Amino acid sequence: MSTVYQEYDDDVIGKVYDARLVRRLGVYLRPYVVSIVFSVLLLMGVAALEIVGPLILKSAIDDQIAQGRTDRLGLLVVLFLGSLTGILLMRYAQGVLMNYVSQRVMMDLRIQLFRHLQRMAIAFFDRNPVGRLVTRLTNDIATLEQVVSQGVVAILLNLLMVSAIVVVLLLLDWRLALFMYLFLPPLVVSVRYFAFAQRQGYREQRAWIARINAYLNENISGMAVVQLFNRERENLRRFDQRNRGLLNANLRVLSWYAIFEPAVLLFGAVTTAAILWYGGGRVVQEALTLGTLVAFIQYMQRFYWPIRDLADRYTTLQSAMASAERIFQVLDEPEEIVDPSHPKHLRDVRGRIEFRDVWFAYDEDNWVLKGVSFVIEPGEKVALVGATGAGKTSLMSLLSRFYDIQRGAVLVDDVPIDEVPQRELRRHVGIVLQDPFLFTDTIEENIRLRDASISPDQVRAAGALVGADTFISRLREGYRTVLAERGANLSTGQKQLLALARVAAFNPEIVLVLDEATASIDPETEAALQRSIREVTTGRTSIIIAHRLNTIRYVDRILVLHQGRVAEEGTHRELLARRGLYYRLYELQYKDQGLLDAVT
Amino acid sequence: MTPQTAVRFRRLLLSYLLRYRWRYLPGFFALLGASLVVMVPPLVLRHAIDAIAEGSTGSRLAAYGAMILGLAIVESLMRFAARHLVSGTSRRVEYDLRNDLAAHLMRLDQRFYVASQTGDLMARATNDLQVVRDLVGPTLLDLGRTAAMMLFGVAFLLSINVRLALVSIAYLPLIAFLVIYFQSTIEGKYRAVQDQFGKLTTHAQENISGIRTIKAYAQEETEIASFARANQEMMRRSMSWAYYTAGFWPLMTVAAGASTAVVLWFGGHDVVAGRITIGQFVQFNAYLFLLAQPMLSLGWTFTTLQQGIASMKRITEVLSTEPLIKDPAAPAPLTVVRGDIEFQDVTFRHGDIPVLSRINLKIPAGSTVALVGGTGAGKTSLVSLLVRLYDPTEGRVLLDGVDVRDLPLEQLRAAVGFVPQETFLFSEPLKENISYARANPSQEEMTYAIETSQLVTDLPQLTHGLDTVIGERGVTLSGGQKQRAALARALIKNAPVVVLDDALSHVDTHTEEEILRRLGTFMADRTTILIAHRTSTLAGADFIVALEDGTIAEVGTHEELLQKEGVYARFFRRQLLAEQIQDDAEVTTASNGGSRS
Repeated sequence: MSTVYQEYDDDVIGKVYDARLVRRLGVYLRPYVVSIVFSVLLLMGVAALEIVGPLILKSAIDDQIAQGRTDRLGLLVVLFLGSLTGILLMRYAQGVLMNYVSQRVMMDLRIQLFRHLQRMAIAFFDRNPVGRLVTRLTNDIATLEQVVSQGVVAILLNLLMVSAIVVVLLLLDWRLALFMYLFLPPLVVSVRYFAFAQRQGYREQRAWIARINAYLNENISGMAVVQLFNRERENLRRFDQRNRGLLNANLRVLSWYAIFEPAVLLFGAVTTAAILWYGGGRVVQEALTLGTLVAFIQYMQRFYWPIRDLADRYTTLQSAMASAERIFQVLDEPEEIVDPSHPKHLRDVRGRIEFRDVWFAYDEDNWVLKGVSFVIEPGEKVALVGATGAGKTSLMSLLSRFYDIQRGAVLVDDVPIDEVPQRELRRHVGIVLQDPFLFTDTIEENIRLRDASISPDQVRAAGALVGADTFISRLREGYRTVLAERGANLSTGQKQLLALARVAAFNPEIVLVLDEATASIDPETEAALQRSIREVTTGRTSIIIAHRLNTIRYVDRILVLHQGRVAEEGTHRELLARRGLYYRLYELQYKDQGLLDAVT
Repeated sequence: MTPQTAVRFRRLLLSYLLRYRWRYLPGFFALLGASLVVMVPPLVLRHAIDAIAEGSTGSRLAAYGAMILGLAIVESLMRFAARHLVSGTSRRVEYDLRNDLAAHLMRLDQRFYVASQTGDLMARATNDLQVVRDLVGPTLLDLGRTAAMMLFGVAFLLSINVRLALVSIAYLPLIAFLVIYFQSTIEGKYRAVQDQFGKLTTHAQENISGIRTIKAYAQEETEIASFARANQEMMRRSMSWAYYTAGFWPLMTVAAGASTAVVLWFGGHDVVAGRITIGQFVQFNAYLFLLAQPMLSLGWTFTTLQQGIASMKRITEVLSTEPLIKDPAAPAPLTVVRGDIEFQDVTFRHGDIPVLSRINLKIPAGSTVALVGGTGAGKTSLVSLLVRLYDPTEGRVLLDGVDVRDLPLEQLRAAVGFVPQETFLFSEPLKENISYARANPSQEEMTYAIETSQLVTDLPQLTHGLDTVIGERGVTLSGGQKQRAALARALIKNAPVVVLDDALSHVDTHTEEEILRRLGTFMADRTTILIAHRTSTLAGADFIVALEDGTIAEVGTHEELLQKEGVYARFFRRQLLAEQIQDDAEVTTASNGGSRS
């Protein structure tokens, strides 16, 4: 079971009630309006039945016990039990119903958010850390869910109860009731004041917690530096400052609680005393029955509990509003890379690639590609060579339209790729990443990426084609073996073989292979990998990024990328003969190998 | 949890509780008092009702009203005291525990940090800590209150009428049974929900981490479908949980209410038969109402109790991890550190993986040595042993002839200006970062550090100069800027030994040469260990140590080793070639009107 650690920058405090957010949330509730109305009706029934209890008691005292009779006491007991059963059934039905609604709403919202994320451009994911987005999908929605299923219901029930009691008291004896209500205004004022103070306190608490977490997190991450610079004592002193800040904020909030609880209690006592004194006097004057007096006292007890509870629900609402705000923020992110409104379609793709004076930058100040132009004919194999940071990886990303270019055009079969729907384009371009991402699923699903249109047989054929089945067949469950998180139970070479099998299974016309040097691959796997790459690129337009230059001698053409431009172009022999940049790079690697030979 | 940790756990929890015994004890007395006082108003009510029934006058009723008010004031004060003392103390325990945890984390060594995840440590220091706080505060309070209320409540019920009391509390075992049954069923169902929530989280996490792969193969729709399936399962499990949990509270409330029906029936007959008065009948009902609440919260209290204990165990795990690197029992401080360094037969393993084996190396005070070798050759590990980020598995590291393990840690680390390979700066003003080792450096020291490190050239680009806040909440520095800041931070230490672990890798050639030129005078009278690749740096060292697979392959001056035509010579020539290509590239770009500034 995995848990997501809530980030600190998420500890922003929202308002308790934000009309705009509530309206937006309302939109999600609309499909379930019947269930919600029914649920509210049930709640009203509960509130009504809750009122009945003291009335039965009143009747029992006045009509039976005080009269010295017990003939209808049994009936009253049965009625009382009946009301209890009614409450039980209605509350249960209401609870299940509301749980259903809130679960459904949150499921809808979660899937909508997920769907939205799938449409976001890669640049969006570059900007937003994974943890933050996951928190939106999980914890933030869970917070909202709790409020819908529990918070709102409790608030509603409490409000209903309070108003029902107010009405019943008036009906029982309006004079005594009005006398009681004299005590209400100060109570309401103090509850409001308390809620306000509590909210301030809560905000202060969250701020200190955020500071403590940020400071501690930084210290844990940089502990080596802290220790090397003998900063333990000083940093502890600073930590203590923050910790003390939280302690004081905590104690302040606690004082409010410690005062509030007895205050409500005192109000209760004052009203009970008043009922005894004023009401008792009227009973003696026979203007009021003893049963009514007892019922009044019972109602007053029931009256304070919802009021106290209401104050507690404040903080829950607050965090829900903050969560809603954050969720909507993500939902409001516009799609950066959009499909054309009148898309062209790629039919019978041959796989001709053209870059026409392409300029590209992740941010406008730092150009990664500065006017790159080249053509790759269908079925041609081309290698991209250049130092780290020369723009090779970016160039690959552009062909799949992970990013939009600033100037120029990228064309597939003479169609500019931004005139084709993204997903259609990508169906024709297969990418083998250097560190391929593997999912916690079976090998089979990792090869076909859960795409049911690719049959298990096709998956096995793909595995066999790239030579991945040798190691897969050695696993106990073969293609059905479930991989560990990120494929941790596989070697780098095995992971790359799986990525190649993916390409073979999806069978695109264009293949991009990122094949950078990795120290951890043994020669045997290395050779297998090279064979697989050749196998996968056969008959497809291919671009291969390779660091080991001796592995790309077989390609038709080599493009040397340098500082965002195509610096040299030609076959391996031609480029060596030119004695330019490629020659240097090659010589460097050759020497490197010489060094290796000498050592071993 | 090992038995040893279990003992520590109990001792630790107890020590925090005992530390505040003079707050807890009166707190619990106040709680006990409040629970007793709360039993009196129903008694007053009984007399009042009986008085009313007999047609008593208003003044007697006023007196009863005043008594109820007076009792409420006493109860309020006691409740205030109880909450203030017990819950307030739990905040203090939280504060202590957090400080203790932070202090312990500061003492733990790199082996611990390599083996643990930041997220996990943070979770213990935050979430778990809060759960423990609830354990030693509200949960203790609840336990105490429930026990006291039950005890007093039942006693008062019995005092009215034994038969009626027994009849009305006969349902208590039933409630207890219901609580236990529901609680365990709900727990199981809830765990199933949480498991699915975990799967959902993993799904989301993997989807977002692997979004490039998903997009590259246009599998968005498949992902949405499988995420929707996981959601449906979540829904199914949540509803299965809801069927129980939605019934729990209503059932408990009704179970408590049912006792009122019992009293209505039996009590009603008792009143009519004259066995009890009508006032006693009302009193009885009032007690049942009082008893219902603590009964209902019993289940919740037990859950938080369990969670609190589990969290405290997780915290104990950290607190009971002994640091492997600590001050010696009998430290032998040096009066003056000269900077003679010696590695004697040093072997170092990470778990079972050998990193360094039988290293013997003398670095005389004042000399400059360059360490070269491929990735994994053991360069960084070697310098880590000097500052005791790790201790060697075998052999000794000596500073001025003293085993570093015999020196006070603080003196050892103060003696070495260290620039680590991975630059870590703190989210504080740049100035604070530079003066990390020395609070309030003089103006000259600061100027010297930022000029030598060439950080001074970056200042015009920063809006607030040295006061600019950097890091997550501030300005993001480039790799080169970070390294220059880290260098300035080490320089200001003015230590007799300096270690630069690949400290200028992100600094461009031109600036690097300028820094090295300025460092020349700084290094002249200090022992300097350089881990470097650039040829200019290597050629400037007094002697060179070439490491290979954790052993010393060659030692000698630059010239000697070049003549030897061994590992170092090949390394050096290869590096030269790479630099040439880089230079050519820079020249080409410049001539093409490139934008490299």
